[in-house]
Amino acid sequence: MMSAILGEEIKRALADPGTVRAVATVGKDGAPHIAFKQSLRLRGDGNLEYDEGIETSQTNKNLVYSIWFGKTVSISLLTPDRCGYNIVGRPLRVLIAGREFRTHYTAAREERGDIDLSAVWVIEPVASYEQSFDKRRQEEEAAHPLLQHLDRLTVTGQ
Amino acid sequence: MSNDRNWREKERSLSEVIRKYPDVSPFVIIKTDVQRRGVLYTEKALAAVDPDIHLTKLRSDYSNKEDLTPVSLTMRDGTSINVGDEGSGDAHSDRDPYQVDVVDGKIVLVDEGNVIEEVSYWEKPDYYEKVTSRGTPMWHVVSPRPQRLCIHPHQQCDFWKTPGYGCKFCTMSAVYHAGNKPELLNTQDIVETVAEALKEPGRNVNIFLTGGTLRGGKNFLDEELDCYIDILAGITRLFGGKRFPSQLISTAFSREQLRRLHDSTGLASYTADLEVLNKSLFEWICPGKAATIGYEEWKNRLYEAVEIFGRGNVDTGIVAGVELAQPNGFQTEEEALESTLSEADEISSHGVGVVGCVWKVHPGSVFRKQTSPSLEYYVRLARGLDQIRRKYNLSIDMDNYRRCGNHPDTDLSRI
Ligand code: SF4
Repeated sequence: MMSAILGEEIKRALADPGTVRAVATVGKDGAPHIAFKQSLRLRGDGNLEYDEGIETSQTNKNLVYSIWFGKTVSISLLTPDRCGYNIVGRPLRVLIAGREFRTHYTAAREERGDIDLSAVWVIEPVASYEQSFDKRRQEEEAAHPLLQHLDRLTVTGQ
Repeated sequence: MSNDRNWREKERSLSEVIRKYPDVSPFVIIKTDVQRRGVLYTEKALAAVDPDIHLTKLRSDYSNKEDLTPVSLTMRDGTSINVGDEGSGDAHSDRDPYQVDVVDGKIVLVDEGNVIEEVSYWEKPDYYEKVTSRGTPMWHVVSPRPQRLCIHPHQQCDFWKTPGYGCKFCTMSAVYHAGNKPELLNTQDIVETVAEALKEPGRNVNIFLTGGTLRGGKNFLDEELDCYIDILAGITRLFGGKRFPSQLISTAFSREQLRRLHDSTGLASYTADLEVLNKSLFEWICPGKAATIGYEEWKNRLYEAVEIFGRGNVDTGIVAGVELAQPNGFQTEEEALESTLSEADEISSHGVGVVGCVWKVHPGSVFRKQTSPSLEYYVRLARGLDQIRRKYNLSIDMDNYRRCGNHPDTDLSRI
């Protein structure tokens, strides 16, 4: 199931360290919040995960809100060659202690020096789609042919 | 089995409470009910326990267990459910316990055949099977929660040594007399164990001390104070003499004692538990505390602690629900809620946080025949305590969900 939701292109984008990763969440006040989470990666079980370094960050609070009340989050990827992807995900669990958390904690500190790690969020992908402009424009024109400027379509007026 | 076979007909069910309070985390509601009712493990759930990985044996102020049942549970959102400290299953006889079972390969909570939520078992820390240089097993000295090291230097309470003085919900003395625990732990053992435990990366976020009252010394409680200062001074050296994330719950010290505690150790936060927020109920339920310090003076000492430790670094714990114990407690949950929250508001206005534990009716306590309140009561109380702290902009970092894990109200403060 999961591998079908995340196609090969998205997996490639996630594997590319140059890909920009943004996580959009909503909290109890309904205000949307976007944060870049470069640690976002694919897990062996097909879910996504990222390292949360700040306990009281808005994203962390919003993810708690989301797991509590069954809300989804939105993840955007932008590759170095400007391909965009969007993943809708559901927070599945948060690791704050235990062997698995410790592995991430140790790895994060080896990579980034004296940082703290508050949590590792595991997010289950429930839908995904490509967001690159050219791809979306083609889809739009095919699905909604009536929503276009006429001057682009005439054969005489160019 | 429950004391009252028909208890389910007399109160709203878990799912009804979750539906009625859509602004309260269902995870926290489930945790609260599991703490209230306790758990029993199925054979499959016990087969999923790996004693090399999971925490099974535990020696603490309220526990002395060596069986292979898990000490406790964690939920998917990181919430701890403290079911194990004081025993599980038949220790919670006022209502039927939840079952912990394995369904579709997952460890889950089950009630009346319905899967409620996935859980995992607490894991064992690295220091657990080691011994101190004196040959003491380290697990006898420091008890772990998922992210906290708990030290209980005095495993009995002096109030229980005076007939009629022990707190009526308390099982510390019963657990002490049932087992083979020493009354006082050795300071060197404690400091060595903490030093060893701190080597584990990414586990501990807090060092916590509490224990039974020690009444002796030149002034009342000096013996207790000296005991904690001795231990804390040793631990403070591990942090280069600096203040470190830590909490002490003690009998309410005087201003001079609090000053000495603060200035001679790296202790960061302080708690003295009022247990119940009502003067006459305090006198009935906590007679030793009432006779030696008194309700109003206890509160004054908490306010003085704020002057010394700072706002947001002092709180007081209540055994939520004992205010409804009979015959002297409130007659209705409505009355109990109004009175408790109004007193919590007054205390919080002085910069002291109020945190609630879920009262479990234990066989070893004077209150063993009582019945704890409805789940709905606990949910309303937790929500009220969280709202009061927000009203006064009072941080609860010192006692948040990662630390004790026994306070539904501080779980709610996560968002
Ligand atoms: S002060 Fe009360 S609650 Fe605390 S250990 Fe003594 S009897 Fe128990």
